[in-house]
Amino acid sequence: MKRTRILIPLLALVLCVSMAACGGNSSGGGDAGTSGGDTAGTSSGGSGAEIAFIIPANQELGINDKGWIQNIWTAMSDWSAENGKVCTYYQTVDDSKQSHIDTYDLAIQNGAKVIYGCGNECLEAMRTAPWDYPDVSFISLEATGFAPDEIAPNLRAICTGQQESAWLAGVAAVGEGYTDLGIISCWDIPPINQWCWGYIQGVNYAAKRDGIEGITVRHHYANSASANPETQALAAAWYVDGVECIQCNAAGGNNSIIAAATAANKPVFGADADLAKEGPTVITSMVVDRTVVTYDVLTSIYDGTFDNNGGEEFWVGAAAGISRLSPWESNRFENYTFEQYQEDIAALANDTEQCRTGMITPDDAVDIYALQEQMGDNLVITINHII
Amino acid sequence: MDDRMPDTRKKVAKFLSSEGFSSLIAAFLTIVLGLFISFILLFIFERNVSLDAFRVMITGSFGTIGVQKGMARVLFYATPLMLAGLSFGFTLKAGVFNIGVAGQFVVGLLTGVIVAIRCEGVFGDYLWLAAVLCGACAGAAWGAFQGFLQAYFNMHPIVCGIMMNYIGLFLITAICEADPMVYAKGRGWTEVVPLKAIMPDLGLDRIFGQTSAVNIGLYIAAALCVAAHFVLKRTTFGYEIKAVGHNAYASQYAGINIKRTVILTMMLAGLFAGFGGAIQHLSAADTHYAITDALPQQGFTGVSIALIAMGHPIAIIFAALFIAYLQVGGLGMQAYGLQPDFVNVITSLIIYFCAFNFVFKHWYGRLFKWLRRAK
Amino acid sequence: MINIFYFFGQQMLLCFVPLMIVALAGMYSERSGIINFSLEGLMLAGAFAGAMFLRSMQTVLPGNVAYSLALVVAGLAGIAVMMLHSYSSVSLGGSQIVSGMAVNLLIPALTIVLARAILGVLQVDYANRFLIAEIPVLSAVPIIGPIFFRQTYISTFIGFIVFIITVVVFKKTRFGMRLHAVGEHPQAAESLGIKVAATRYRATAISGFFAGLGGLAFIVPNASEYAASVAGYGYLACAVVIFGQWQPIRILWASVLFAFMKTIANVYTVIPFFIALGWSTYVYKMIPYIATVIILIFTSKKSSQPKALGEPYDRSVK
Repeated sequence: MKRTRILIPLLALVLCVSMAACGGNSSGGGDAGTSGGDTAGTSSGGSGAEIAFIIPANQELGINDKGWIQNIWTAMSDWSAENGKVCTYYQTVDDSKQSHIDTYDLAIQNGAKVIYGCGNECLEAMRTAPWDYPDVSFISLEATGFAPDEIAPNLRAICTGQQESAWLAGVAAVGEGYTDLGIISCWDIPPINQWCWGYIQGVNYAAKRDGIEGITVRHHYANSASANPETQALAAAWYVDGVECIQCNAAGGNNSIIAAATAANKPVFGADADLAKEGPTVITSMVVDRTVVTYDVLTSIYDGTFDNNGGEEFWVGAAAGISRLSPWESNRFENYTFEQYQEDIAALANDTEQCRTGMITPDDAVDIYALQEQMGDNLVITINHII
Repeated sequence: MDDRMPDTRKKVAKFLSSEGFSSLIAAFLTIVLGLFISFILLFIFERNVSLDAFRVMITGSFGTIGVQKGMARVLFYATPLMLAGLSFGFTLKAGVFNIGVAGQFVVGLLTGVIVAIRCEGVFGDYLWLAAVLCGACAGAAWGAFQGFLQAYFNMHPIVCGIMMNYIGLFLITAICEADPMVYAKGRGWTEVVPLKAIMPDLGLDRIFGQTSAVNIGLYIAAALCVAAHFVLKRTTFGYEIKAVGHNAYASQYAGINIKRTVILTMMLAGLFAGFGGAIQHLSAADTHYAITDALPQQGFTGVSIALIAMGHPIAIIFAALFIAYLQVGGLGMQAYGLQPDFVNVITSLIIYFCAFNFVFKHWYGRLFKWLRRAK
Repeated sequence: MINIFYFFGQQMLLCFVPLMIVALAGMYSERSGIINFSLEGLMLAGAFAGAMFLRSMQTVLPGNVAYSLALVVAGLAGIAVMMLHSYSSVSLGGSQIVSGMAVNLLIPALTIVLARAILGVLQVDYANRFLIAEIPVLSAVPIIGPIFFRQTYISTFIGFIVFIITVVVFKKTRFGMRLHAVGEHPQAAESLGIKVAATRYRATAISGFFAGLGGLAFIVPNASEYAASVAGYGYLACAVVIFGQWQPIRILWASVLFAFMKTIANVYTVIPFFIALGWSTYVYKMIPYIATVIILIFTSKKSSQPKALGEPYDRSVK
C-alpha cells in the first residue's frame, strides 16, 4: 500500500515523459486544417494559426464574457474569415509575466505571426517580449503605463477612449432625467477608473450645461469581478435606498447588477458590450467598438503600414467613432432623444468646453478624491464615494 | 505452487503476485483508466481534434516547444504546487485535513512581497532569502494559529480551514493595500519586487535557458519534501504525528501530547504553504500580484496532488511534476481550440480513480489467481 | 429606513435559504457516515442541469412551473453525480475525502466542457422570470409579511419545506432513526437487521438531490446565467454542517447567522451607521468568518459528530 503512493505519480510521470520523448522527435501538429471546437468564431487548430489572441488567466469566463474580450475575438475571427487567415486563442496559466511570455512562445511555436494581447495583465510581458521576437507583430490593447522607449518597433500599444464612451453615458443619464445616480466598479484599476471618471465627468458636464442642481453620483468598489450574490445585494440595496439608475462597471459582476435591476424593475446602464438582452430594464450600454480598432490594426499588419506609433501608446476614441453608446435600436430611452445623442457626440468631437481634451484621466487623478479636487469649481454634482 | 515447475517460472510467479507488483498494476490502472476515460470524453465532444489534442497534452506539448523549454515550464509550475501539496499531505498523516492551505499560501505570498519591497536596504543580496523565510514564517504562524484553535477548542479542521482561508486572504490583502509602498493605488496590484528579491538561478539557467524562471526554489521545494519524509519516517516527532493520525486516544494514553503535536503539525503545514506562496511570486521577475477576492488556485491543486500521492512526501514531488506536466500540455491543447479546463477533467478523474486503489489490487489478485488456476 | 429593513430581511432569506438547503443535504450524507465534501460539485451539477432545463423550456412553460421542474431536474443531476461519490465510498470503501474532492474538481470542468460543446459558450443563460413580486394576502402581515412574501422566489418556500421534512424524517420516521444508527454504529445496526449499504445509498441519494436543488436555488436569484461558479458556497455549506453540529435546527440557525453577517457585509453601503464608521470594505468581508470562528471557539468543546463518519464499513469486521 505504501509503495503505491510513490508508484502512481512516478509511473504517471514516466509514462508521460516517455511519450514526450517520442513526441519530441516528431514536430508539432502539421495539419493546418483541423477545425477547433469553438463556435464563437472561426477558430482553427494546430500549426498554422497565424493570429493568436492571448487572454489573461483571470478572465474566468474566457472568450465568452459577453464583454470586451468577446468583442475583440469576434472582430478578430470575422477579419480572419474575410481575409483567409486562421486565428486562435490561448489563455495563460496564471498572470505572472513569465506565464504570459510562455504563452506567446507557445503560440509562436505553433505558427503565430501576430500576437494580440489585452488588458493590464499583459503590460509587463509586452515590455520585453516583442524585443525577443522581432519577426512577430505584437498588439497590446488597453495596457497603459509603458515608459518611453519600452514600446518595441514591432509592438503597437493601443488604448481606447473608454472615458469618452462613459462620458456619453453620463450625459445620457442626465438627459433621461435621473438625479440620483450610482456606478458600481469592480476593482481600483486603470481601465475601470477610466470608465468611472469619464462617467462622472459626463454627468457633471450635462448638469452644468442644463443647469440641473442636486444630482448625486454614488460610487463603490465591489472588489469582485464575478457574478455573485454580494454584488447583486449591493445593487439591490442601492435601488431600495433611492438610486434611480446604476451604471455597471464591474466586468463579470455586471450580470448580478442587472439581475438586481430586473428584480427591482429599475433602470440600469450596461458596459463593455450591448447588454440590452440581459434584462428588460437595460436602458443602454457604454461601449467601445474594438471591432474597428482590431480590423484596422490587422489590416495594417498585412499591408505593411503597421508601426509602433513612434514608440508611444496609441489612443483612439470618440473622434474615430470608437467610443459610443450601444446601437440606438437597442436603447430604451424614454426622454433622451436621438437628436440629443447626436448633439452630444458632436460636442465631444468639437471639444465643447474642453470636454474631451480637458478630461481628467486616472493618470492625472489617482483616486476619486483627487478627481474631485481637480474638477474644483467645475464640479456641480455631488460625488458620494463609499469605501 | 507445483514443485515440478522450473525455478524461473516460480520466481516469475512469485514476482507477479508480490505486493510490489500488484501495487504497480494498481497504479498503472489508475492512471490509464483516468486518461482513457478522459480521452473518451474528449472524443465525444471534439471528435476531429481529439487525437491530436490528446497527443499534445500527453506529450506536454514538448513536441511544439522543445524539451528544454518544456521542462523549464514544468519545473516552474511544479515548485509551488509541490509545496502546497506537501502542506496538505503532511497533515494527512496526522489525520487532519488542512483545507486552509490556500489561505496559508496567500499569506506567505503577500508577506514575501511586503518584506521584499519594504526591506530592500536591510538584507542586501540576500533579500530573496529574507523574503522567502518571512513568507514561510507568516504561513507557519497562520497555520499554528489554526492548530491552536483545533487543539485547544476542539474546532473541526475543515470548518477552521475554510474560515481561516477567507480571513487570511482578506486580512493580508487589507494589510497590503494599506501600504502605499507595496500596493500601487489605482493599478490594483502590488508593485514589482526589487531584483535582489528574485530567487537566484544557481546555474539552472545554463540548463534551461536564460528566459526560464526555474530557480533555487525548486531545490528548496524538493529539499523540504525530502526533509518531511525524513521527519515522518525517522524521527520521534514523525512517529507521534502518525500515531495521532491513527488513533488519537491511544496515543494520548501512550503519553503523546496531542495538543502539541497538532499545533506543530499545522505550523509545519503553514510553513510549507508559506514557502510555496513566497517562492511562487519571487520566482518570476517583473510580476505584479493582482489583488483579488479569490483564493489562489494552487492551494486546491495542491490538495489534489497530495491526494494522488496519498500524503507521501516523495510521491508529492512526482505528483506535482505530473500535474504541472499536464498543465503545460493543457496549454498546448489550446492550439486545437480546446480549453485548458479539460486538463482539470483529466486530473480529477485520475484522483477519483485513486480512491479505487484497494479495489484494483483486489481485482488484480483475483485475476492472477484465476489465471493460475486456468493453467 | 423601513424599506431598508424589509430589504435586509429579503436579502437575508436569499442568502440563507440555499445555504441551509445544501447544508441539510450534507447532513443527510454525513449522519449516515459518509463524509460529503463534494457539496460544491453537487451544487454546480444541479445548477448546470437546472439552467440547461430552464433555457430549453423558456418558451414552452410558464415562469414558476418551469422553475419548479428545473429544481427537480437539478436534484436529479445531483443524485447522478453523488452516485459517483457514494459508489466509491460505500461499495468500494475508498477514501471519502478523495472522491469528494475529485467530484469538486471534476464537475466545474465537466460542465464547462459540456456547455461549450452544446451551446458553444461557457455560460448557460436563461431568462429570469421567477421573481414573485408579491403574494396577495400574506404580504400584508406586519413585519414578516413584506420580508417573506414580497420580492421572493418559490425556492425560499421550498427551502423551508425541506427543513421541515428533514426535522420530521430524523425525529419521527423509522428511516431517519435507521440512518442515525448507521452513522453512529454500523456494526450494531447491521446486527439488528438494518442494511447499512442500502441505507447509506438512500441517504446519499437524498443528499445529492437536495444539494443539486440548492445549487439552482442559489444561482437563480443572483444571475441570469450559470457560469460554472457558486462562489465557494459548497465549502461554506460543509462548514455550516459542522457549525450546526449535524442537527437540522442548529444548521438552520448557523445558516441564519452566517447569512445575517454576509448581508450586512453586502448592504452596509446604504446603512448610515456603517458608512459613518469608515471601515475598510475588507473588514465587512471578514466579519461573517470571524464571527463563525468566535462562536465555534465557544461551542466546539462537545462535538456531535457521527461516530462512524468517514470510516468505510466492512461487513466482515465485527
